[in-house]
Amino acid sequence: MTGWPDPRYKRPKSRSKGSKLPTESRWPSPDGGVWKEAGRMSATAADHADHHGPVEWPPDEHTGTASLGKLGMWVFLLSDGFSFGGLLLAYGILRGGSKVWIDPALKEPHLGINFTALLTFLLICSSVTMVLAHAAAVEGDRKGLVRYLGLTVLGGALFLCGQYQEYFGIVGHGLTSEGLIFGKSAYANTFYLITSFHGLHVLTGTIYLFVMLIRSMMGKYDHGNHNHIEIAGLFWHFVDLVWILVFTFIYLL
Amino acid sequence: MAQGDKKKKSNSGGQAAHKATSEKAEKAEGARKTSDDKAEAAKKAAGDKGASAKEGAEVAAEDKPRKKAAAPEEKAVAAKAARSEEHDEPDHGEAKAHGAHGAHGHKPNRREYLVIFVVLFVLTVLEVIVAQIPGIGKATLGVLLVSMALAKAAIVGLFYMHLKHETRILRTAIAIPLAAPALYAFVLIAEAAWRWR
Repeated sequence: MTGWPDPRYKRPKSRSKGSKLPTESRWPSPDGGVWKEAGRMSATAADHADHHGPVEWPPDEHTGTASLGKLGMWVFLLSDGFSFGGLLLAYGILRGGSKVWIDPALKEPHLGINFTALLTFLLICSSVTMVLAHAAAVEGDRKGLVRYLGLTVLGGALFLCGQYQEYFGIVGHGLTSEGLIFGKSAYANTFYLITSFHGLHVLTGTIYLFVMLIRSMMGKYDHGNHNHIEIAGLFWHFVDLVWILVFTFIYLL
Repeated sequence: MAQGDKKKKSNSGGQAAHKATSEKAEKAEGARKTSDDKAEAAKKAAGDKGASAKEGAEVAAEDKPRKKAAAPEEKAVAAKAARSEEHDEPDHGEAKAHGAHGAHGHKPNRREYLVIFVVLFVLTVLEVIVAQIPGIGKATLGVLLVSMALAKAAIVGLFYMHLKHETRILRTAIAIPLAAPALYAFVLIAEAAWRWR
């Protein structure tokens, strides 16, 4: 690849005037016209598109049809995975090196499993609504996309409320008022650091998905233009995936 | 273009088109026009994969010296197409033909998503139950919970994050870096186990 944007790849412009893509190959590929086919297909979809027709990426030898945006999100998620990996490893080292993890002398509360299991269930549900939103986006079903994205955002917001309840207590006591104070012990420190770092991801993801919700309401992802939805979904599923691990390592073990 | 319906057949169709067009390549020079018409018909019959094969063959027909070189290439394309076809889930008869993700290689499978959801739910419930078994050994608990958590994480990655449908190289490129902290954790646990033995 030389230069950016790749001179061999032309992003289809607005097709409001019903202009079609040329059916000749714009991609002198050695693979005998696979990309040509992709171009043709986006042209057929473009017949119905007003402004934001789907953009097919030229198939890459290594990454197939994954868009650059998707690859970028994966690179980000890998680095994010390292952040969580580092935090969880630090937690493991601290816990493994301590004689008593929850010191009875400090009168720190144990973590409630059942309520957090409910939060886990909530995140799993929001992951399902996210893939269903993506499925609706693939089919160009704006109503379904908005509905499922809305449910996903709701799931994220409820998770944040649940975490607030767990920390500070909307109903009853939160962990902070029960004596789990940040800075008091390694147990409290690692718990707050890791769960709040994850909570920050949920907050980011909820805002991200809310923006995507507004954009899909505006019709930016009609006609099967699902790439951005899929990328947002990657982030959201990653947040869910990390929570699965955090739940197991912090709460259950 | 009803590519959705033709998808399953397009593999054999592509090969048929390949056969037909390579026949034409034998006598292409005089009868170029008819060959084109026939190829057009073959394309209509075979769908898009056939079309790409046809175009490959057309190049071969135009350029006789290149014919021998082009034919295997064409075969490779057909094989590639076949492979990508196999990759497709067979269960998409009801999906409408949307050009949008033609080259994308897969369509979302709602039933699969829901099955995965049930699996995740069951594993979560199992985890909570296992964690609250009175008097369970620490090592047993650790092995059970960690294996279940890793299974859940892998399921989410493969099915919800569509890693199942990505290329092998991309999957490897994602898996290897994530294996690094896992390896580190393994070494730490092994070291701790050795220290406490």
